Amino acid sequence: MRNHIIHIKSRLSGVGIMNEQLAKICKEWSIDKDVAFSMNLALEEIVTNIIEHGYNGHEEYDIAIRFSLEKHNLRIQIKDSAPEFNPVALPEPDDLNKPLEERHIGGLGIHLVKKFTDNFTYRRMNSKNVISLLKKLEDGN
Amino acid sequence: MEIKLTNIDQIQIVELEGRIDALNNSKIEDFLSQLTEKSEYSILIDCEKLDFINSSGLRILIMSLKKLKSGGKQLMLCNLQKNIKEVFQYSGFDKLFDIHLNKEDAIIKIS
Repeated sequence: MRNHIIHIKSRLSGVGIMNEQLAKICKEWSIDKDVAFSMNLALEEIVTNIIEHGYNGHEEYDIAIRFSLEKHNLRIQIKDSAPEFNPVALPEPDDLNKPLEERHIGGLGIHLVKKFTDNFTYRRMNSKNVISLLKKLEDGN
Repeated sequence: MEIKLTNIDQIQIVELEGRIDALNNSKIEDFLSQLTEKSEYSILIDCEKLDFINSSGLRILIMSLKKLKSGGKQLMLCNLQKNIKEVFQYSGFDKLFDIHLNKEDAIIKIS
């Protein structure tokens, strides 16, 4: 198993650093392009949610991200100290099949996380929110 | 993110290159909101070189679509890469947008 841990600040430039790091790791670990896309999307949705809602736009907080290459999975764990919030428990949007006039703007981020990952879990531990995203690898790198 | 605008007949063609992500959402949002504000023409977004889109990107596109439709114009998309297509399908956006295989197909449809 290989691990790579980064810490970013709760601001836009932090998201930029995170995306660069993920791209670099995926290259180093020879992660398939589709898996890299899925995890980038899921990670960006989670982290922008933490920055905008968890930390309410305050830019000085820390978000710890651990990338792990397991035998059959790529796993990303995200830890923040914002107030308790469980995104996994959010209800699914109910207007996905509705016409344009009835579609709400927004609310899609967490839905996409659920769709693009194979496992998405949340727990509250030591006053931190801990989210884990998992994507199966095709042939177990 | 690179944005290129060309006109063919009565259609404004927007070529997007790179990523619509947290870092450059506002760039594409500003561009499309200006373009749809004064738009007398329908818009075709060519996604051949678009590698990434997040939910904020979808939100920007749906706002542009609503604005254009209220003025009787269209917002079409073409050349979606596999991953981007999946984002649209999972969001139900494939049913809201007029999505074409390539630029030529879209232009025939719109003219």
